[in-house]
Amino acid sequence: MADKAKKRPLVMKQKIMAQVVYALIPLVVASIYFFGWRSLAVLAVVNLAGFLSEYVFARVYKQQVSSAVFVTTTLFALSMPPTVPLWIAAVGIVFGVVFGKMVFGGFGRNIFNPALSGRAFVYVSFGYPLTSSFIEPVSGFPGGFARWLPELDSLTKATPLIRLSGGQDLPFMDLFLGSTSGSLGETSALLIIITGVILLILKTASYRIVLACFIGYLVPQTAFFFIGLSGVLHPFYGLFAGSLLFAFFYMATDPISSSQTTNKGRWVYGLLVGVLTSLIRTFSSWPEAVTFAILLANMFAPLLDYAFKQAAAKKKAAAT
Amino acid sequence: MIILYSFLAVAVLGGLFGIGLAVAAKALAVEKDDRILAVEAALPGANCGGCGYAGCAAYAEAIVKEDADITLCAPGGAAVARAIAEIMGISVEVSDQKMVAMVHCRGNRDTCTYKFDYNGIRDCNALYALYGGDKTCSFGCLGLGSCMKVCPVDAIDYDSRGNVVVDRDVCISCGKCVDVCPTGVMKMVPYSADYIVACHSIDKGALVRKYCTVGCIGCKMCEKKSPEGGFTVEDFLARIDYDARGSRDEAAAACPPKCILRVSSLKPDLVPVTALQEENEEA
Amino acid sequence: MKQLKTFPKGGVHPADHKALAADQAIRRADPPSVYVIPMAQHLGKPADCTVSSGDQVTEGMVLGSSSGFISAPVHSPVNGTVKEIVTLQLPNGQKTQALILEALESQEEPPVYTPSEDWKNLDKQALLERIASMGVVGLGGATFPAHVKFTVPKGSKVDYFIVNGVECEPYLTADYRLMLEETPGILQGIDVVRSLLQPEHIVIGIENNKPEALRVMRDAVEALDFPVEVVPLKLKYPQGDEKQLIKAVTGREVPSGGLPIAVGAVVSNVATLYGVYEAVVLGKPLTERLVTVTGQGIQKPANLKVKIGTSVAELIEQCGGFVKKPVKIVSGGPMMGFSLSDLNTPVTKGTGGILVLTEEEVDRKNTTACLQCGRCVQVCPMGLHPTRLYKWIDHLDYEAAAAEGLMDCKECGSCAYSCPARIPLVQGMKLGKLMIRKKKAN
Repeated sequence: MADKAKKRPLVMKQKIMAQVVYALIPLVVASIYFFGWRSLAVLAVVNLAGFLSEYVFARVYKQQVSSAVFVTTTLFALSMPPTVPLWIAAVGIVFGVVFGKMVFGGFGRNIFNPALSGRAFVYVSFGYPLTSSFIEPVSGFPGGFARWLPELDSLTKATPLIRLSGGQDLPFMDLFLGSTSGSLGETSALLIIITGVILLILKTASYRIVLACFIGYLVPQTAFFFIGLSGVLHPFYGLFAGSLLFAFFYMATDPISSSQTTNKGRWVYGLLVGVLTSLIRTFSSWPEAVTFAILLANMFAPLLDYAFKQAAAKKKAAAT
Repeated sequence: MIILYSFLAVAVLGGLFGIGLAVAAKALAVEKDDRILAVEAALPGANCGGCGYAGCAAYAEAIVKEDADITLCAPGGAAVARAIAEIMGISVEVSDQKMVAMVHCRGNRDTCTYKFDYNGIRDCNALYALYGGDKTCSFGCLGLGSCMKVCPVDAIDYDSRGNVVVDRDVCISCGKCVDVCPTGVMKMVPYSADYIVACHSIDKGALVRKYCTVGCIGCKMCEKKSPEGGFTVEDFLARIDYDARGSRDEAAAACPPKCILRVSSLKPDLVPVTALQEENEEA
Repeated sequence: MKQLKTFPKGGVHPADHKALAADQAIRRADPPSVYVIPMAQHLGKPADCTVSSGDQVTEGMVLGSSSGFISAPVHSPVNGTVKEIVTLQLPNGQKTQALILEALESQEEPPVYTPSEDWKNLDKQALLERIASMGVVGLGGATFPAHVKFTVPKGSKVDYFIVNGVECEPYLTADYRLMLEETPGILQGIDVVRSLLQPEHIVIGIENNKPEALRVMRDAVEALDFPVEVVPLKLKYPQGDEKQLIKAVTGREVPSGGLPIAVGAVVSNVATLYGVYEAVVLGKPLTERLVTVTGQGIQKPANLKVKIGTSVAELIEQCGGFVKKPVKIVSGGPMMGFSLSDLNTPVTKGTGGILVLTEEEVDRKNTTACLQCGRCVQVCPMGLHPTRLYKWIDHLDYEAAAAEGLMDCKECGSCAYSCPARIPLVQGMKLGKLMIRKKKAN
């Protein structure tokens, strides 16, 4: 009321969210290197569509647009395949922002991670264009910086994950550095790990959740592999293939949709994500299991917070 | 064939669950005193909580089981109290006058002086806990809208000048806003009241003038101009006795700070959302 | 290296900014010509005013008498005339009577007090009465009447008497200076309280960011004829809070809603003990207290011995005035203090510091939506869920917040300090507690 005349800025300043966006910049640059300038176009379209859809709702709710929407849009764009039709990307992010977040009342009130909601929606709705048109990334200098899109004759039919589940072998270094086909921002394990660790150090992401995710994934996956179930990924390759690292570092740790108020809750939540990823990857026809694993775990997050809080209260009551 | 099977399966399941529900409804039925149901039916059903119970059903139960006072339902007023009295077989004396809440202050950014810029929780009680509010006048409306938050029927809103105003035609006289208001500037007046003294300050006239351009300075002009109007000035603040039937127009016109206001002029304006409102709803 | 003691749950590490005033020796502030003396300077019932307008008063005379068990008298800091009795709005919104006191032009020489040993012949009741009659209250900030605290309820036994030399609030250095400069007084105060409580152990807790104070106190307790242990504590806010200090020193946890005596402990601040010494040994009522005037906006940060009733503006002037544009002036520490809107606010028994903060020192960014990051939960020393409580309070459901432990909140400010969305969590908790108390009163 003091400064009625001062207009509120359109976008809320949120340092934590800004940090995540900064951390994603190297991945964006890498996606241009691997897949040409078109990836920037995808990013632009997704950002615009995501921002506009939040803006429309924010107007109605009389809220400010949160900086978190740019985290959502960037994460979503980076999880799209390089040849994704721009309109599909736009539909996906609009769904993610509107139905993943705004219908719940806007920032801070959503149950599901909006980027993943959008991703799951387009993967289920437009299966063919999203899973059959991965292309080999460009390599060498100047890489994708001189191209719009890698040569179309290098079109392959599957991401490393799909190839691996089909029993093919891949050189590990390619997986690690990112010169394999895959989604825009998910190919370079090295960059994801570096930026992800920076986020952990800044305490923007919780190391407990990330660690628990890895444990939850590796333990059952290793078990399945050594029991000799058919079609099980080598746990180690599985770690670097597909969006697993990207999702564990950036999406599982989203504070709003994850269980964050107790440390125990963080551990259980992370384990849940990891185990579900392993289970869905092994026993379902969806190789991109981590998307669904996190969405499922999101559902349990409030319950975990509640249960551990109650348990603590009971313990306290018993002690006094 | 598949269609037939699935149809049958769903039909059988539906039938089973239906029977289950029917049995459960009979077997697990809760015995309820008929009078509770009758009292509940007589209550308005707004669940405003103005009576102090969790809602109409809880109040009905309290009346029957704990002999709660039957005149607590302000929205229902006299009619409901009589209806409940009949159900309970007791007699009751109530007045037919409907009361409504009114904000007795017109101080805002343009008319008042302020002590400091407040930048905390948008809640009047929180603000009041800091030096009694940001206005230099410690009796006036703090304007953060705690009353709006508790009003069960959204009868309270800002007008275009940023003052908090109650719409007396929407108000159900539950009194929750009166309870929540830290300065006591929200007071009940009869629905039929033609004027209110829109000031709540018992500071001396000179101080009021320093703090606010629309505050009552206790000049007693109203007493002189409308002797039949029931005006009395006490503690430097004019008060109206609404039992007095004389005209109050003269006094309102003559009041130097113009703080005797016609109630019918007090309505939340349906103007486009102001910056002020936006800020308040954000909180 | 030996592991230093601290409390286990929550806590934060704010930058301490103590260097600003830590090396400023205590000096006496120049007495002002006008004093404002509120009757409510302590927790509990305000004192009853016993003088009227126009009365002549002398230094040390009772201006307001104690109005109950949990209350304390107020004494005149000066020889002067009562100009007026006014109603004053305290920073917490409470309205109270206050005296405007005009000092006489020529002050007689202030009475010189000399320590006497006669208190040793008094019995417990007489000692407590003396403490009560001198208006001694807890000077750590809570202003709880001291004689109440030192009255051991029947059937309770004091295992630990903990002397609080923690001063965990950033910026403040008054207790630190007191420990360095008035060590004998503090120890005599401890001796008085020892005879009242007859504790098993006496422990002085000091955080390890004050090595000088640790050294001085250690050397001093050597010479005592009763055992006192000086315990260095690991730096962590809010260690100076009673419950956290007890947990850190003894490992015992005060139950929710309970008093320290429930676990056999009594905690008292060093400044309070110095007050006890002055009251019992010197026979001097509480009319002065130490105030740290500091912050980057003040010319010469200082630790001043101030007569109660002196205005904040006067103190700022005596410290050279402002150097930079102050954006916020805080009474008390930055974590738990409150900002002043009026520089004519008087120093009361509860004023531990005046901070003049500049733009760089104050974070005034706007509140954004809760991120659910859980930082407030991690830092809450009481193990509460500040963000959940805040949501209940925001939705006006104060009972639900109380059911989740709202009343255990001590407003230490750790949650608001660590909140990345800058939600005014502490103000929310204060509001919730206020509304609960209001409801109870009805």
